[in-house]
Order: sequence, then structure tokens, then C-alpha cells
Amino acid sequence: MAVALRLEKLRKTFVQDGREIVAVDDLDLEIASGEFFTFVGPSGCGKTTTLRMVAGLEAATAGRILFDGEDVTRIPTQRREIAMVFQDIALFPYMSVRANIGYPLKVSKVERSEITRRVEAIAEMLAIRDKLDMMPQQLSGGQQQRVAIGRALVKEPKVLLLDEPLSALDARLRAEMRTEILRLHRSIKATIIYVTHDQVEAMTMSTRLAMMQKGRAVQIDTPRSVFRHPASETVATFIGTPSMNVLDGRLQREGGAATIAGGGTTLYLSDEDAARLGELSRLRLGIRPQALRMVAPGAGLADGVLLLREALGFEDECLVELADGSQIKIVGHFSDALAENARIGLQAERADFYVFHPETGATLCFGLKP
Amino acid sequence: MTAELARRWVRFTALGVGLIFIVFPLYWMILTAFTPRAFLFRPPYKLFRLDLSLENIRELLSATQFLTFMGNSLIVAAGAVVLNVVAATLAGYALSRFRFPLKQTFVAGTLWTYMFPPILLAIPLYLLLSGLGLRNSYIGLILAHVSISLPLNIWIMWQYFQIVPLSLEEAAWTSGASRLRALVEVALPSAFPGILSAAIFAFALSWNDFAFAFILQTDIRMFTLPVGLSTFVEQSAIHWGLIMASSALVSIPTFGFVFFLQRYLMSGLSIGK
Repeated sequence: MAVALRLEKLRKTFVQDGREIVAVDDLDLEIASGEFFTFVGPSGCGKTTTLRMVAGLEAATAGRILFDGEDVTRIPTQRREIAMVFQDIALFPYMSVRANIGYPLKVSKVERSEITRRVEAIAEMLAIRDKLDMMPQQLSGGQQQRVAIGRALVKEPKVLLLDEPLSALDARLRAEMRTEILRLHRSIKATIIYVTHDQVEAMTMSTRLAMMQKGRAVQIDTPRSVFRHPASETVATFIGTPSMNVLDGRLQREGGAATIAGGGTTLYLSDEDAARLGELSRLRLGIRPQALRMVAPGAGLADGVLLLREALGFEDECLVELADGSQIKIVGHFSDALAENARIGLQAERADFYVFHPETGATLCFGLKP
Repeated sequence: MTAELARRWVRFTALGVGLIFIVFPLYWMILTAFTPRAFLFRPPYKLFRLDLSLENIRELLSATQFLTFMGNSLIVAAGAVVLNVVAATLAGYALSRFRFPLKQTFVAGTLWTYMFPPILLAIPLYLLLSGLGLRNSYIGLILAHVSISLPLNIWIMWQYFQIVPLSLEEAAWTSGASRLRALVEVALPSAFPGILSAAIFAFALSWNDFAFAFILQTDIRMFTLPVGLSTFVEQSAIHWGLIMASSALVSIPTFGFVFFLQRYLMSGLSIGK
């Protein structure tokens, strides 16, 4: 029985050293029933505080939290019918794995035989059935996290909250657990709220995500939309690895024609784009490393010198210095003969460029019109 | 002989001498406890005696009120331990989890008790307990002992609860457990060594207390062991055999307590790290 959530003007402030710190700034959003919703952003953006308010572990300073239209803001954690998986796993060290997973059921006074049945079913699903009678310290990090997930799922919660559950695991395990969690979402019928600073997790697992910065949600959209149509430079550079290249550019107008000069290249602007950019003289130009192509020097939009080359397997990530001294990254499949300090040319489609406002960072153009 | 070997011998010799200083009085006490009165001051004073007897112990148990004293000491110590553990656990938990005004003042205040020698506090305590009608009672003496051991025990439990991560309790709350239930089922087991340390400290302080028991208990039937045993010395002839026998018997519970629980005591002393 999944629920739909509504966060209504949710606000959290606290006083530190006599100053008021705003952790969550009038957050207002809806989460659909059964959705996998992720709050993503850098440290200190307010995502964990938001999650903890939904859990009831932090009291909201202002605003409401509604589960299926019912106001739960004043209801204590124990009665909210949520389940939570913590960043530091938080398994009870003096109880066996079986007792850990069964704890929520024991608290709800479920019958012993029923507890055993449900615990074993969950353990089977999470592939830890053979670990049931061991103590948490005997398990590896990944297994412990699975026990924690089992403990959360065993009471079939309406809302499952996960607070950076994979950050304590190594890279390979993280990738495996991502798939597991995704599979889990498909099989259980709960609304999942996930918090992470890892944009890969956010992109691969979510139905929709909210990119948070300084207590505000700067963009709420599906992963694909956030990737293709980032609302601001911050979102554009946060989502996607390696980060989008963003350079300073100058808008020049001569006669009736407008051009953007930057990064050692000059791009002409269509009248439509020029009109959209209005009175600006400076701006920020962005392009993703994957959108750039390497060509012969002089054959592309700009020339550069190859500084560094990182092999990633199929593709390489190269650091290139442009004519005006700025550095950008390009990702692609390049000839092995390509050596450092070689002169190269860079080409890209006009549609892959982004233009950002120099001060606000808002995205002004998604791709340049032909 | 190498320099290393010589150093080891020096070390062991020094340790051996120190050991003799510590062990010999205990040994002599036990030896005297089993020596009949007649042989006590008659030379030669041999280090090893074969003619040991239970005469002193028999006399102790039948002719004196030793058993009454022992009983009183046990009752008072047990009461002090229970009260200490419950109060220190709740106070330590509150200090570690809640924010409230004057917290620092409270914490500093609890340490004030240790600025004064107990005998100085005994007189005001006597007046206070008399006013409450608790003079010469078990409760009164228990409260007096608790007033000395509780502050430090609160500190100990506070430190232990700080080690328990809050996320453990939060995991219990999100599993539906109330705050109290989470405290008992999740936080306490992790803080258990602290409880044992607090119990040992409370027991030792109560068992060995002379000042408060001497001033507060006026009836010989309510005397605890330290006070009761001091009466042996008031008699015209000091019966050393009896005193040594009683000392030996009195030290057994404390010795047993600490011996079996010493590892918890050691961990309790090092939690500050």
C-alpha cells in the first residue's frame, strides 16, 4: 500500500552561534504513490534534513507533511508507518540478524510464527537466508546493508526512506546494490524516498529526482529531463560525469549579426537565440564532454592541445587546453597513436550547446538554433 | 650475562619487592585469622604455620554480632547499587540525548560533592535525615551513600551513552519502538559495561563507608560492618584474631565482585579516550 506524499512549504531553521541557519527553505513538492523519488545535491543542501523531517526524526519549523492527504507533521515517528535505512547501517549489535530483521514485527506484537515466516521470506529475497543466525559484526558491509534493508521492508511500510545507504560501501558493491535496490522497487509496492550526493545513483534509480541546493529544490524532473534540460549551470555541472564544460563567453553584435566568442571559437547566433539573450554582453557557454568530437586541427570549431589522457576502458577522457588558455574535457574513443601535447581540433553539434546566464546561472538556451 | 638479561633481573627484583609489600599484609591477615588466640603473641612468629584453627571464625560468628553487621552492610550496599544504577542510567541518558537549559551548570554541580571530604558532609546529612525521620534506618544510609557515588556514576553513564550512536535508537524508533523501549532494548545493552562500572563503584563505596554509617546509625543492631568491627577495638583487650578473621571475611565479597567483573571496570576507566 504505497502512499503519495506532499511537502507543503516545508521549512527547517535552527540557531547556531546566534545566527539563524536555514536548512530547508519552503520546500513544496509532491511525490506520487509508488514513485522512486531522489533528493540529490552536494553536502549541506538540505536533502538529509528533508528526509529526516518526513521520517519525524526532525521537527519541521514550519510547513506540513501529508501522507495521502493526511497531515502527519505532528505525528511521532513511531506512528507514521514509515521505514528507514540509515547511512551508518545502524544494526543492533547485540541481536542476531534474525532478531534485527524481526524487530519491527516484535514491537508490533506480531505472533512469533508469523515473524519467523516473514523474516525468512525477506531474507530469502535479499539472499541472506544463511546468515540469519549470525551476529551483525560477522557480516560484510554489503550484507549488513541488506539486513538493514530487510529490517525496513519486513513490516511492509507505506513509505521507505533511504539515507545515503550506499555511501559506506566500496565502488563495486555500490554498483551491485544499485541494481538490487532498483529490482526491489519493481517488486515491492512502496513509495521510496532516497537521499544521495552521488548523481549516478540518482540518475540510474529514480523515477523523478529533486536537485537541491542551499535548502531549495532547483529542479524537480525525471533523470533524463534533468540531464538534457538542466535548469541552471549548477544542475548542469552536477549531473553527468565528467562534469559539463562551462566557459566564459562574450556576446558580440555587428550590424545585424550576433556571435558568441569563447574558448577560442566563435559561434554565430540565430536571430531567435540572439533575441532571447537580449542585452547581455557576457555569458556562460556549456557543452558536455561526450558531445565533443575530435577532428584534425583546423577542421573543427576550435583547436587545442592535448594535455592529459585518462583511459577509462572503451573510452578515454582527455584534458584539452584551448587557444585562450581555458581547459575542457572530451570523452570519446580515440586513436592509440594520439599522444600528449598533440594538436587537435574539436567539433560539436550546435544543438549540444547550452547558454547560461552569467549571474543567475539559469539556462537561457538549450542548444543553439541552426 | 647480557645487559638485556641484567635489566630484566633488576625489573623482576623490583617487582618482587613491591609484590611482597602488597601481598604480605594480606597474607598475614589471613594467617592471623586462622591462628588461635593463645598463639597470637607467643614467639616464634613463623611465616608458615601448620596448627591452623577455625576458632576465631567460630567465635566471630557465634559470640559477636558479625552476621548482623554483614546483613546490614549487604542490604545497604544492595540498595545503593540499585538506586545508583537506575538513577545514573536515566540521568546519563538524559544528559547525552536531550538539550536543556543550565546543562553545564548541572554537570559542574554534580562534581562539587567531591570537593569535600565525606566526614564534612556527614553532619549536614545527619541533620537532614533526622528531620526526615530517616536517622538510624536503611533508607537513610542508602541515600547517604548514593549521594556520594551517584555524581560520578552519572558521569560514567553519560560517557557511555555518548558512545552509543543515535542512529541505533532512530532505527528502533522507525521500527515502531517508543523512546523508553528503545532505551532499554537498544541503548542499554551497548552501555552495559558502564552499568557494571557504576554498580562496582557504588558497591565498593557503600561497603567500605565508615563515616556516614558511624554518624547516622545509632543502634548497634543497625551497624554496618566497618562500624561494627570498630567496636572490637574499643574493648579492653584487642582481639586481633577476631579482627583479622572479620577483615578476611569482609574482604571476600568485594574481592569476588571486582575479580569477576574487573574487565568491565577497566573498560569503564578508559572510556574517556
